[in-house]
Amino acid sequence: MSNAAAPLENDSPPNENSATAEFCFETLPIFARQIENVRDQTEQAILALSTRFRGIVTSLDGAVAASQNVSGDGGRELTSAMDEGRQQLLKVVDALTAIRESRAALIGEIRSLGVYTHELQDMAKRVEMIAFNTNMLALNAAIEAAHAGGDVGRGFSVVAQEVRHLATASRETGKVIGQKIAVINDSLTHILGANEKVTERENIAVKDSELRINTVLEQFGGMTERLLGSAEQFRRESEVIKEEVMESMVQLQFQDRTGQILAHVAKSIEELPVVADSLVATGSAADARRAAQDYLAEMANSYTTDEQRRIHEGDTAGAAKPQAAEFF
Amino acid sequence: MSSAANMALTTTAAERRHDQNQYLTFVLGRETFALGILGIKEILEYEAPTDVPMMPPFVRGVVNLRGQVVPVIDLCARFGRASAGVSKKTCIVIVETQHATESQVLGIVVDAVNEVLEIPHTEIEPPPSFGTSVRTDFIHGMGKVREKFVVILNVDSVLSFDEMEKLAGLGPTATH
Amino acid sequence: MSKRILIVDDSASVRQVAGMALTRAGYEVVEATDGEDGVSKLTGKLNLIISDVNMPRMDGIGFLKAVKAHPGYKFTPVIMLTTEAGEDMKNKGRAAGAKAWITKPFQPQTLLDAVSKLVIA
Repeated sequence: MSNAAAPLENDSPPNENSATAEFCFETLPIFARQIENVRDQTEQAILALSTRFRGIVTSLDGAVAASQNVSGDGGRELTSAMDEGRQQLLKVVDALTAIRESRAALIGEIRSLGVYTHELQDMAKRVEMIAFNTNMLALNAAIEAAHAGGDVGRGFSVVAQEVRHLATASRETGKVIGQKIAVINDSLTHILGANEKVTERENIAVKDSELRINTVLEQFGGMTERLLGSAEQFRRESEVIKEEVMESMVQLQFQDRTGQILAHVAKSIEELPVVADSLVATGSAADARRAAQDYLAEMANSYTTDEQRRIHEGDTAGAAKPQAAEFF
Repeated sequence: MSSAANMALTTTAAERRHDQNQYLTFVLGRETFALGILGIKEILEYEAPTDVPMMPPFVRGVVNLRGQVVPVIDLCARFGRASAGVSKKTCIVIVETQHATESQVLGIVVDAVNEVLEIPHTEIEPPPSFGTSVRTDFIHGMGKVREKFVVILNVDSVLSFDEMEKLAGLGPTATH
Repeated sequence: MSKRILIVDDSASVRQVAGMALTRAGYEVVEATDGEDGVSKLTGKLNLIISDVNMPRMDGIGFLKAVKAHPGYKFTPVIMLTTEAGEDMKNKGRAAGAKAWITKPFQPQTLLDAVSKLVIA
C-alpha cells in the first residue's frame, strides 16, 4: 500500500474502498507502534550512552584535580619544600664549616704563639751570652786583682767573685728559661701536629657530607621534575580525552531531533486510518480531496524542525548543523 | 830592717801566698785543668788566629792583642790529642811563661773557662807517675776541689826551650 | 556563591549536555522536564533560565510567559534552546520576552558564551 494518503482517483464501489480502509486500520497502527518503539529504544540507548560519557568526563575531572596536587600549586609546594630542605642541610654544612674556621683561627693563634716563644728563646740565649761575658769580665778582674795584690786587690777580688756568682746564677736562669720554653714549643708543635691530622680528616668529612647532600638533593630534584612532568602530561592528555568525549556528546544531540521527527511520523501514521475512513465516508471526491489537504496542512503545522518542512515541500534535507546564537 | 818593714814584707808574702793559691780552672775536651792565676794575664773571647807558615802544628797562629802580636797554641794538639771544635764558649787564655831569663807571652785555646778558686797547698798532691793523659812534667800537681781532682798545669813546662826559641821570632819578648 | 541556572527541556540528552557544560563552567544547575515542571521549580535564587520550545503539557512560549508574569523572576533572563529555526517562532519568542535564541544541535561553547553574556548577578 504505497499511496494510502493520496485522494481517491475514481469513484470506486464502496465495498472495495472499505476493504482498503479496513486493511489500513489493521496494518498502519502496527507501523506506528514499530516507529514509536524505535524512537523509544533509540532515546533510551542514547541517554544511557550520554550518561556514560558524562561519567567519564566527571572521572577525568576528578583524576586531573587529584594530579593538580602534584603539579600546579601542589608542585610549587613540593619545590618550596625541597628548597627549604636544601637550606636546612646547607645550614648544617655551614655550621661544620664555621667550626672548622674557628679551629683554624685557634691554630693561627697558636702558631703566632710559637713565633713569640721563638723570640723568648732568643732572649734566653742572649741572657746566657751576657752571663758568659760577665763571667769573662769577672775572671779578668780576678786576675788583675791577683796581680795587683794588697787590700785593693783583695777587696776587688771579692767583688769579682760575687760578680762571677751573679753571672753563674744568670746563666743558670737563662738555661732554665730556655728549657721551659723548649718544653712549651714541643707542646705547641705537638698540638699543631695533632690538630693538622684532625683538620685534614674533618675537611674530608665535611666535603664528603656536602657531596652526599648535593647528590641526594639532585636526585630528589630530578624525581620531582619527572613527577611534575608526568602529572602535567597526564593533565594535558586528560584534557584532550575530555574534549573528544564532550564533542561526542554534542553529536548525540541528533537524537533529540530524530526523536521529535519520529514521534510526529508515528502520530501521523496512527491518525491515518481514521482520516482514511472519514474520507471513504464522504460522498464526493471533492470533499475527500479537501479533507486530505486539511490533513496534510495539519501535519505541516505540527512540524518543529526545518528538515521536516523541507521534506514536506519535496526537497531533500541533510543533517542540521550548529548555528550561532541570536540575541534579541 | 825595722819591724814595720818586716811586717810589711811578711804581709806581702802572705798575700802573695794567698794570691799564689788562686787558680783558674778550664776545660780541654772532657777534662778540667787548672792554671795558677799569677801566670795568667787575661782571658779573651776566641778570635780566629792568623795562620803563620813553617810553625809546629800545635801553633794555631797569632792574634793582635792591643798592638802586641801574641802566638796562640792548641794545648790539645800539644798533648797529642784531637782538638775540639770552636764553640761560643771557646776562649784564649793569655799567659806569660818563663824560661831562664826569657819570658814569652802566648795564648792558649781552651774549650771553656770555669772559675777562679783557691786551692791551698795542703790540698795539692804531687803528680802521679802514671795514669794521667798528659806527660807528667807538664803537671804541677793534683788539686783536690770539691771531692774531685783537678790537674794543675805548669805553664812554664808547656813549651820546651827549643820550642820557645822558635816562638821568640814571632813577637817581642819580655825581659826582666 | 555560584550562580544558579534552571534548564527546562523534555529531552534527557539535551539536559545532559547542557547541564554538564554549565556545571563544569562553575554554575549550579536545576533541571525541569517541561513547562509545568519548570514553573514548579521557580524557587530560590535563579540567575538565568534556559528553555526548550517544543515540550508536552506546557510548551516553551507558555512557560516564558509564566516566568515574565512571576513577580520574583520577571527580570530573570531567558534563553530559548530549540530545534525551531523559523522566523515566526522566533518572533513569538522575542515578543514573549526571550533574550536569546539558540538552535539545536548546539555547541556547548555557544551556549556558555550566551549565558556569560546574559547572566545576572
